[in-house]
Amino acid sequence: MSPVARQLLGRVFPSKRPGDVKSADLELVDRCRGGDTAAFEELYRQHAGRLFNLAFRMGGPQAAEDLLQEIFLLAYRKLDGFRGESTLATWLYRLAMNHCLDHLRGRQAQMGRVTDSLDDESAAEPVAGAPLAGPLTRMELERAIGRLPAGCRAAFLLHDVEGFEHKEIARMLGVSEGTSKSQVHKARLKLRAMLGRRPQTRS
Amino acid sequence: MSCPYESQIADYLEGTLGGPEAGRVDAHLAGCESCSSLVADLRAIRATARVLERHAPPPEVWNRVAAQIAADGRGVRSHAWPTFRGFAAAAMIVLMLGAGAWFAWERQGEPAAATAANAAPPASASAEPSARRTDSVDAQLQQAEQQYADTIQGLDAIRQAGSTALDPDTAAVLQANLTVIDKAIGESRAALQSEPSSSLAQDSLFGALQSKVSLLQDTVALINEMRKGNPEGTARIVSGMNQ
Repeated sequence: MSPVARQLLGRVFPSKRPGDVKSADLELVDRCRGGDTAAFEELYRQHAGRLFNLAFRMGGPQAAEDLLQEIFLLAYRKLDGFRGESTLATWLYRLAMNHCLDHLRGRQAQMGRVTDSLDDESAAEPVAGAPLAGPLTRMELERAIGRLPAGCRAAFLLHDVEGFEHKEIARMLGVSEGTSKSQVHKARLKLRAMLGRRPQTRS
Repeated sequence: MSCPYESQIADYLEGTLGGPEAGRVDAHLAGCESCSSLVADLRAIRATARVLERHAPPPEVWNRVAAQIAADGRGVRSHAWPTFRGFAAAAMIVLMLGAGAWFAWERQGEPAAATAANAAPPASASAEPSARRTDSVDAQLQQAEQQYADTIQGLDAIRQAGSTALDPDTAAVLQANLTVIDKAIGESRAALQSEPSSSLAQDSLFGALQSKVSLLQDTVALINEMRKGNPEGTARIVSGMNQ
């Protein structure tokens, strides 16, 4: 977090109280359910930025806008299912990630590349002893993330890019914390393999 | 993986290994080039991932969501954003995706494309197709800029009406940022007057305008959160403002 953010947070709110988050989420969702039209716009403004980045990296730049629109329409229609058991952010991310994964499955099906698991192990399998070719740039990493299998890409984006804890990711993806950890590590290894020396072309 | 310690590297990087175990991995890394290279690379990937570019959703997305919900019969207002058409819409999408360019330009302190001294006159009406195209582009630019101006005016009015919800320090920081952006808008306008066909100057102006829209939008959201006394919501917005 930047010094400006720390300055703002430090001066405005000296401490965070997690209990307030769920309370505020429930209040906002209740307003949405009650037909408060401004409330849903407020919900959108709070979460659209981060969810757009998720959609951008899961579905690609061309699909990101449509995905974001669909995610919020889904959220609006499913708000009755939000019980406050998790934060609204976790609930929205779970919904968003499921929708992005469905989108990818649909795209794979169109391309005739249906697999049981979205984690196609043949893609960029980690190569032992292949260090990075040089200083890592954001653009190189961005491109490589786009080539990750969907399952570990999802975990990697949520943990390393968005900064969620494994406990939260486990809820979002419907997996165990251990699976979240292993998927993130697998993604990092695959990225290293993609970005490192390429001793040979794999067929 | 050949080295037995490699299986512990995931936990080592997560910081979840116990003290003695972490110490053993530390000692191993000091003597194992393969593992130390792996750890360094994975740390570099993790660090770079945290600073990847943040993309902003185009305002049209909310309009489409609101319109769809209204069509579903549970009306949601769509007043916050004007309807951007044609160039304005395309410009906002493209410029927001490349928003970093303006900030980089500003940081590097490069001159805003020469001086305004020799401002080119506006393109005059001409029978030549290229001149007509220029007129058309100019008109679209003016229209897009006017739409930004209208949006900014609306958001600024909301901000000023709710400014008492902000503590003085926060308001001062936000005002300082608005001042920087206003300065950039002024410089970009001067550059565009000097070189009307410069895509860099156009990008800079619309990037700066978009930055102002985003900051005002975040400020309004911040005011709402602070009025509600929601520290987590405020923290999210402040964090987003710094991304």
